[in-house]
Amino acid sequence: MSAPFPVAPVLKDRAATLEWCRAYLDHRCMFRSPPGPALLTSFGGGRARWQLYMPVATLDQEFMRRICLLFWNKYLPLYRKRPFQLCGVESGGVPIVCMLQAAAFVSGVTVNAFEVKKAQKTYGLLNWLEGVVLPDRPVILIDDVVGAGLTLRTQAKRLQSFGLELQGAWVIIAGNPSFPPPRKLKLAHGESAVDTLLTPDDIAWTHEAYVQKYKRQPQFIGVTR
Amino acid sequence: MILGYQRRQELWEWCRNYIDTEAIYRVDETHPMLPGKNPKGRYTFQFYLRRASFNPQFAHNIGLLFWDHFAEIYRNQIFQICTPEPSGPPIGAAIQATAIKLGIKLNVFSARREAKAYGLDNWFNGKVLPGVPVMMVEDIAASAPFMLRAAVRVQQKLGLPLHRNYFTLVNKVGGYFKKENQHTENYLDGQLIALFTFNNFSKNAEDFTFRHGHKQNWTGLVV
Repeated sequence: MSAPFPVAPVLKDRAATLEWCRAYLDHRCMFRSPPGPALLTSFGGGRARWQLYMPVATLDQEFMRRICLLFWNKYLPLYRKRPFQLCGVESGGVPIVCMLQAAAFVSGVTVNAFEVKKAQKTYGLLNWLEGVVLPDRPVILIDDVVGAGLTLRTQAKRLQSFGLELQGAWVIIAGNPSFPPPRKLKLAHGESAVDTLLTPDDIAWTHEAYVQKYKRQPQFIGVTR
Repeated sequence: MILGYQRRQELWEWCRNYIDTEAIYRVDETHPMLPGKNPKGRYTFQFYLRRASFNPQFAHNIGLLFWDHFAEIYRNQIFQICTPEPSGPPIGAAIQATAIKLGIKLNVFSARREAKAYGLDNWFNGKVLPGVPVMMVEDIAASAPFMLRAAVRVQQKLGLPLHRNYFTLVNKVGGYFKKENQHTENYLDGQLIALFTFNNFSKNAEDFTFRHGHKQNWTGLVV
């Protein structure tokens, strides 16, 4: 049997667990274009020199086991004071909420979760939300990465327009060095910073920065097709 | 097999009942017809299986039922799982979470419906293990060929062999589906393992009321 999944045991070494996750992202999940023409296309239509591929991490068993420990180490006491539900932002947040929920469940804590879609369904119930949504329970929005925060703000507004109370937002990494944290989110009773485990300073974003930091060439382990 | 007969039946029945009561929309006098994918089409029922796969008890049970069937097979030949987005990943996560508990190392990656529009223009998310057979895992085997298309891309774009099994929660056969709309025959390059068919569920609102003794009434906010 491997290391247990339950979250109830106290996280023994938070700093070491966080560092393991940081290193996993830095060494394995960043595609960095080597010197020369940029190999990636950007969201805006131009060229890009790097791209963080979070699913390489969020679909990895060991990475997510550690992320669950880190998350519940902080949020389980809050949950026990006032139960909340998790909302995964399509598509990056979905595997995360599923694993967070599973880790809590095997520890005897049943946490409701659902998903908010990028676009409204075009048939059937024309729904924005997938899953069972508890109308009276506060929501924590979950995503893998936050850039400028536009997606989180849009989805936060959407949930609030459905009458849901937003308690906050949590992401694994603030992942764009152009937008230093904290990213703010409007809640019913004022603003709240998006809670992030890692910041842009934790990653060497470019090929050059990686080589300078680690004295070796970066390797991307994700699927490139 | 990791479950005894009685436990397996309990978990299966719990999941069957959960889908029947919480994850199928059925038309009745208070639930109008649903607009279909085809603009002229109307649905009298629809599966909403993420109402089930986001339920932690359901996900836990599914993980156990999956490994009850596949743990021995995995021990003989490891495989990896590809989950077509958007509905496959919660099932993949359920299987992966149970695998952690059982001490099974399992790689999961997801297949996009279209290539990413920036970055590497990739069709897949995650990482793949070279040479390791890929099992396709989805919530439902239905008329839309998303799982089959993803399976073809796994072979063509990734050069990976398919596992002989596909796995879904529901195979949309049985009930009043016409023969030509029954999809088992689409998976003849392998064997589809599904936990349920439509015969396991109430066929309409009237049948539901007869079976359960009350009208269907979904939990929670539907928006």
